[in-house]
Amino acid sequence: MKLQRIEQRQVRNVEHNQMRGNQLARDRGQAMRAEMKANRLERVSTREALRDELRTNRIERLDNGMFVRNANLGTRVVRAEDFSNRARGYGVGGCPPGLMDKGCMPPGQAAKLLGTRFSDAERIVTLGSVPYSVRYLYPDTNDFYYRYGDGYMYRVDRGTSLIDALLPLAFGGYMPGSYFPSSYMNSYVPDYYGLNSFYPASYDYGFGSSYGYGNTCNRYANGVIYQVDCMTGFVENVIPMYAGGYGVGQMLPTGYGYYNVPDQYRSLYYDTSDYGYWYAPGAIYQYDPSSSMITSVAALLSPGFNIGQPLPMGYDVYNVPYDYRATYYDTPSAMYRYNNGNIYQIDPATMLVTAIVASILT
Amino acid sequence: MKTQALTLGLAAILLAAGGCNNKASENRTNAQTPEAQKAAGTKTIAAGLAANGKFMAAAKAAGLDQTLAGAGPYTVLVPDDAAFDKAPAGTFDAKPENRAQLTGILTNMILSGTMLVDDIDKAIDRGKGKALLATMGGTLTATKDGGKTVLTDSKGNKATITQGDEKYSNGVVHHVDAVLMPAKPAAQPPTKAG
Repeated sequence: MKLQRIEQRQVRNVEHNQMRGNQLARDRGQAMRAEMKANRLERVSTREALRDELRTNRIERLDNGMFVRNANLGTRVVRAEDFSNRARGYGVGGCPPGLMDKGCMPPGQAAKLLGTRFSDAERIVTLGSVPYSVRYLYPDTNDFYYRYGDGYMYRVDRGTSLIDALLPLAFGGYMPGSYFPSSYMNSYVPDYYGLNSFYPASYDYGFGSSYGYGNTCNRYANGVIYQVDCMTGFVENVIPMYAGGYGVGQMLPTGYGYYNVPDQYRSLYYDTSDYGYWYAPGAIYQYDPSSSMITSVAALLSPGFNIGQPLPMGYDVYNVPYDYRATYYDTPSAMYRYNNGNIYQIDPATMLVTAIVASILT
Repeated sequence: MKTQALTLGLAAILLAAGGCNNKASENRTNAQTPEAQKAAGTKTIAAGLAANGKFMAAAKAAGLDQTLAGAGPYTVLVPDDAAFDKAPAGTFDAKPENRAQLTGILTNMILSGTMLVDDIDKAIDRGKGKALLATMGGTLTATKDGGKTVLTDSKGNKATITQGDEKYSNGVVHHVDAVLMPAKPAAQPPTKAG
């Protein structure tokens, strides 16, 4: 009898423990759900903040562009004003189709100069010698020489004096204020080292489908990212990339007449009377202030990390510079990776970027 | 007398033009700010690689010679001259119209930070036989083959590190026996607007 009671008590204890365990599991589940909810909310607010920031930046960039175009301040603006008195390439001066009669030259019209005599072309467009700083990129030979103007580099055959080649100096030719061709609207930003996540197809919830906040979409053509109105293709912003082929010997668009080098590189690359510096995804460019032509690539940059983001694909290998290896080496509790002037700490368990631990350029 | 004066005048013009060209080349070699030169150190990758080699010739045509003389640090995969010769004709042509393609190829062989061969090998071991490396223009896969470190591009081209860990003040160079190509050729500017 006593034995039976003991057995019954044991069974009750087991059941009780089980219930208690279930209760704990439920509590844990609730806590986890609450945490996930908090994380979700945080992600949403971060995304909203990011979106707001992007939007502000874009507006600021556009404002700056307008300001530079209109305010007539500083050497670069003076340069822009100089150009404004001449016929310009469609891709250089931000000249929309409706203003062609005010001095802009669309690519189709420029193409008509192919095969014409150089002296005849000079009556239509203002052509100048290639600036010394980029002459090594367009070297004169016994067969031909180069002249530039209106957003194009013209190659002239010495034997016939005919223009035998035309190279666009701006990137593809679609500037803020113009319309992106509908045939390119399905051309998304490539996935080179995660660029498509930095410049998603749209900025809507989930960063996936077609239409986003302010109706802005990212599209890609010929080495350049275009932020366009999803419906109309109206170009709001232009973001050239070095790895996409936008580089030396080409011109900065006048809309980018402001210094935008990332903070950690500013002590190294600052504007001087001989050279200016300008940042676009992938590179810090050095350019000749008198012609706006890119003379060299001062530094190559990758898209960078944000604190809290997962470590992007492709950073499997430890890459910390020599002088910092004694301090920042991988351990089971922390990993370190270098990127764009900074050393980042990564949590090996979650593979999230947790902190910037050193900035090696400042 | 008149002819003589004309000749002298012409000579003066030519001398002036020559002087300008010299100025241009001076600008090219001293283009960096003093701070950038100091950060890059004395023996940079650009200074260490053979100036007459095919890699530096291609780098100059893409405006990357200044980059490799800059602060960095970078890890650069340098194909030997024989590897350049094996590439399809015209791949490394320095003509302006080929510059976009050249840029895409070279940036696919430059990586951010300092990666020694030992670092790559350790990552391969951790990754159970392979590691992914983000380059400035794409992604490479690293594996081991017969004790040597092999890098494969997205098209399946393989390059073996023949001489690694050549250290410079602004990074490290690994010599490889083949050219690695980017995912797709960099697009050329459109011939006409849509």
